[in-house]
Amino acid sequence: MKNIIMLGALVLSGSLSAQNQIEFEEYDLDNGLHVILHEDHTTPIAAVTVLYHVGSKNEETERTGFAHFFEHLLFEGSENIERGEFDSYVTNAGGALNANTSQDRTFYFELLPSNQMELGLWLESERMLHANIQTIGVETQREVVKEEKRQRVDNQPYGSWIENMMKRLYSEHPYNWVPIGSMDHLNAAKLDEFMAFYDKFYIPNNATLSIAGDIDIDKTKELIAAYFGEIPRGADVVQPTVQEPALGGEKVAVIYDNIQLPAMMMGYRMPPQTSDDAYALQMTSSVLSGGPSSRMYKRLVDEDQTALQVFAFPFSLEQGGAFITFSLANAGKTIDDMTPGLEEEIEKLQNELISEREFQKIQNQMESNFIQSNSKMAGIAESLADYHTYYGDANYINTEIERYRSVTREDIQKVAKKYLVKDNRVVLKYLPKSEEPTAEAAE
Amino acid sequence: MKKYIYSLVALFAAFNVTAQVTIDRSNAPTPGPARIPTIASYETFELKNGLKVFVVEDHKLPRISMTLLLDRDPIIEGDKAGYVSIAGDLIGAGTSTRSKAELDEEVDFMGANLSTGSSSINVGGLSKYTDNLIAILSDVLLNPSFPEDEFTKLKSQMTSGLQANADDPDAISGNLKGAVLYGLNHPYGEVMTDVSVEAITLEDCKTYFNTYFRPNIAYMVVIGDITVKDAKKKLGKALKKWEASEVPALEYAKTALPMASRIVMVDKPSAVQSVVWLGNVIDLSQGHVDIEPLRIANQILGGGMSGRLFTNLREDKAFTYGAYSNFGVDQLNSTFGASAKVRNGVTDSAIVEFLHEIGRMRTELASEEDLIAAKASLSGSFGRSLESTSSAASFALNIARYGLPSDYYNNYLSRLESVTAEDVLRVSKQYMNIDNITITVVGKAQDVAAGLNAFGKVEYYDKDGQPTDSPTFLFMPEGVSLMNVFSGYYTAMGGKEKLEALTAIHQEASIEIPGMPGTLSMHTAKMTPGAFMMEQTMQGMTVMKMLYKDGKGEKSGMQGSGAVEGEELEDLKSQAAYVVDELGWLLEIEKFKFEGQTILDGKSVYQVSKEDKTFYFDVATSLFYKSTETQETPQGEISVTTTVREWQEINGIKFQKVIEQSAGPQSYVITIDSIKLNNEVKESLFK
Repeated sequence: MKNIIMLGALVLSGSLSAQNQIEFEEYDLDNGLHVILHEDHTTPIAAVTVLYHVGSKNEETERTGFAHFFEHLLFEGSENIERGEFDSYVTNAGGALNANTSQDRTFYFELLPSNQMELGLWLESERMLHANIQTIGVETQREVVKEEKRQRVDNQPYGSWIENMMKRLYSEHPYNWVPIGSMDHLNAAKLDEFMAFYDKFYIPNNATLSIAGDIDIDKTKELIAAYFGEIPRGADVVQPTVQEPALGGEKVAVIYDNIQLPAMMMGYRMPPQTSDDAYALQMTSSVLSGGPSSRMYKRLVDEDQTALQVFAFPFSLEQGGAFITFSLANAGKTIDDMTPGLEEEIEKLQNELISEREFQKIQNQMESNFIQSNSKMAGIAESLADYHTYYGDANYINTEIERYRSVTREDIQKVAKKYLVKDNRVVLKYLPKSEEPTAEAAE
Repeated sequence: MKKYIYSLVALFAAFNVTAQVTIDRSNAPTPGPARIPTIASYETFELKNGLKVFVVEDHKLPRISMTLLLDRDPIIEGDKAGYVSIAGDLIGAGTSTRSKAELDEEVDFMGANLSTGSSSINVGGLSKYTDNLIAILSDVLLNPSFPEDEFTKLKSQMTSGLQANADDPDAISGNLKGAVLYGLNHPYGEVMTDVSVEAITLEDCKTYFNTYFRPNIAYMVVIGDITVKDAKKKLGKALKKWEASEVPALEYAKTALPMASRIVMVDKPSAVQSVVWLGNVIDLSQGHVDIEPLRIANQILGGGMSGRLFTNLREDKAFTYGAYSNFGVDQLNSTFGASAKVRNGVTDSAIVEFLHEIGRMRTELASEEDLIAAKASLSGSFGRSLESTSSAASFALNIARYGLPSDYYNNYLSRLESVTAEDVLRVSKQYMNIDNITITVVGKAQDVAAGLNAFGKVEYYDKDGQPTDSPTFLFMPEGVSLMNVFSGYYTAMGGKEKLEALTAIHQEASIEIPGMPGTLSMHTAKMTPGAFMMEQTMQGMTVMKMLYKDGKGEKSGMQGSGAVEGEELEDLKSQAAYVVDELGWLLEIEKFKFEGQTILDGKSVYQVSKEDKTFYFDVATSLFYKSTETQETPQGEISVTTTVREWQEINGIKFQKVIEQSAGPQSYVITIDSIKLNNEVKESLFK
């Protein structure tokens, strides 16, 4: 016990050592492109990344899946890069590349040997300046995206749960749908719609160029000016301002899937990721499922043994999101078996403050995660771009820990009471198809 | 004065212009000189009990990771498959002084992590907790308590895990691959089941731990913010009591390649994509000179987004989200394989493309361009991997485990560079099999099995890797009825009107019966209204003749002569009713029943029944394909199967040309050698 107290004291007194400071330079080009540069010569590699502030929430309701589709389309080439060559330039240079799309952003990256960094600038500036949007690419990528959906959603046990959750949790806000979107919408879209989407969102004043690694900052600045300076600014992008009405009561849905073990997901509406409450909810998720000693894990997996797995996590988004609990039943156990454990652990958070020791534990976990998070160039470049885009302050990479530190035990109780309530949640019950009542029985 | 200022500005502007970088958008920029990545250095020492320790110092972040690894031979778990894995989990489930809950609490409180497995223990966290982490590691290793309740819990979790995997196509594919490549009685092929997990005892787990968790077969890898000196001092002290003991060495025969290609499948009726893998076991061990050439070959074929598989199957054909190849080098059994998840409808086409691309690797010399690109890509990937100091640690470990030269990884890039196109071709031929390749598919058999027969007879397995019967796929296709099937057939033959317009037919056929000398000839003729003749001859001798005319029937031949009456007469009458037999079906349509669509001999077919007889019609061509019926004979019931192998077209009408028939154990082929129609048919035949 003495040991433990000493540990606590150590943590409280400990501050971040200087070696964890991520230094960077940032500035805007005349066309509005935001640039962030981090120099680190440890390994001769450089991560060149571009974040476009466009995700599925910027889509039209009849054209869902566009942002993600673009992520595919923009590997098809440009005026100076032939179709299918985008990948080869990077792999032939000994680099790697990829991209991903969320509700809020589309993110492209190249990881290159540092002597090839300029290649990344060329490719990304080509993508931003004059990407190739042609019928053949659209047709091909439409089919590829359908395969992606089959692989990730349709052919995956429980694969449809996020889609099922979000469409019930949000009715007005574009968080109603998920980035993969609707295949019917993609089928219906015409080439000129794709071009219009490109002109609207793929503009320098909606993008952040973030580079980290073995670079010379002055030289890099000159190159950036040369490659990106000529790209014309576009009309400023207006982010959606949809006011979502309160959920107005618990929604419960039963979904029959190709599974054997029942699962239950509870999703609670969340405030935007930059809010104090979102940080308190992040800490709350640690109390519930951060490690095997956490409350929900210990209760459902170790003690009641009703669940094989359980986790709680804030699916934080720019304009809200969902605080999720996901529990997978043990063989022979039902959703009803798991429910009391889940409900009671949430009620406990609402009724009592967490203990001082537990509070210290989650703070230590946050600190440990924070200190270990910035170990690779790709991650650093991405975090810098994210913080700039969502917080308007790339330096959050060094200071965000303060947001966690400022969360109190009372805050945790407060957000549990405010958000983790029935009226604010959607419950999905996934059951095996074999248990689906036949049409007659249902009537 | 102003003027001077202007010129000064102009001068600066000009200066700026010259200093500005100029770029040429139409071409990719040329790279600057490359910095060669360096591998982080490591130190190694051995404790008195034989534990070999590797330390890679990395003080960039204040964190540390310590991993204990056993270097033991693979184990066959047999009818208790799963016990090694449960033993691994159980090590972290309590010690003589810490319950599982206390252990979890202590680790979580530091924001650290502890994980244990069947041949490893890992702790990691901030380096300020190094002493605590070492204390936990050594407690778990030296004093595990194997609590009974935790054991029971882990067993039930493992059973639940099996249920979760039962619908996971990737998990099923893994079982299938292991079972067919190595067999179920091999460490890499055996499959955990409810039954095997149930059979595991706590004693099995303890015995495993006591036998194999020994310092003399173990390595400890320490990475992070610690000095070698400290590591030596702290670990030496903490693990002093860990005792060496002889560990059994287990040997296995190398798995042989199959004699021929195989296609194996697990039917997953709910699947909307097929998980396809093609590959084989290869004879290649760590340190072998073929590794770099094969790495390059693999890179060209399916190493990533610019690999031929990705380019072909995704970017050109859009069959899949991704297609790749890879090979794994292992001291017991290495493998080479390629895989993708493709939509049901293109499963066979995807396999064709895989085989095509593998075939190209084996026959065509890679271009200089391909070779350079593959080398650049692999060198780059190696360079990137060095960002993580754990790479240096795993290199050090491999050098020790496999007896590689100490500069093996330092020379990797130069070995890669020296590979030629000829080397790539040679290793492709050697390691990428095509004549005895194994193809595994997890998918919806009803939709994909028909196409797979092109690659051999599909062998079916269940999700646990046990051979199983072919699934039956009979289902009711939407919008298809008995009349659709029949009229489709008539249309495929040439149209109902054309068939009805025929007035006479005379077919000459030859029948080859195995074991019988000579060929049996058969004439059949029909003429409206109501005449039928059939005669079988062998070497000019009439074996049997049947005649029906004017409502009377008679037969002659070796089995005697006489009038035909009763049921036999009715049969002749119906034979004579239509020149084309099949038109007669419409007369007794009420006796037929449409059973649905299924798969037969790899074809999608419609199934129609009439009393004891079943007809199959090819969905693709609408033509009759096969019939099966049971017939009473003096020797008892036999089953008769008739299969049309070939059709011929005469006057715009399709007639059967080659027919395979089996009756009981006997089977023979009937070939229709000539067909005469209408007024070409001699009336004298019916006398």
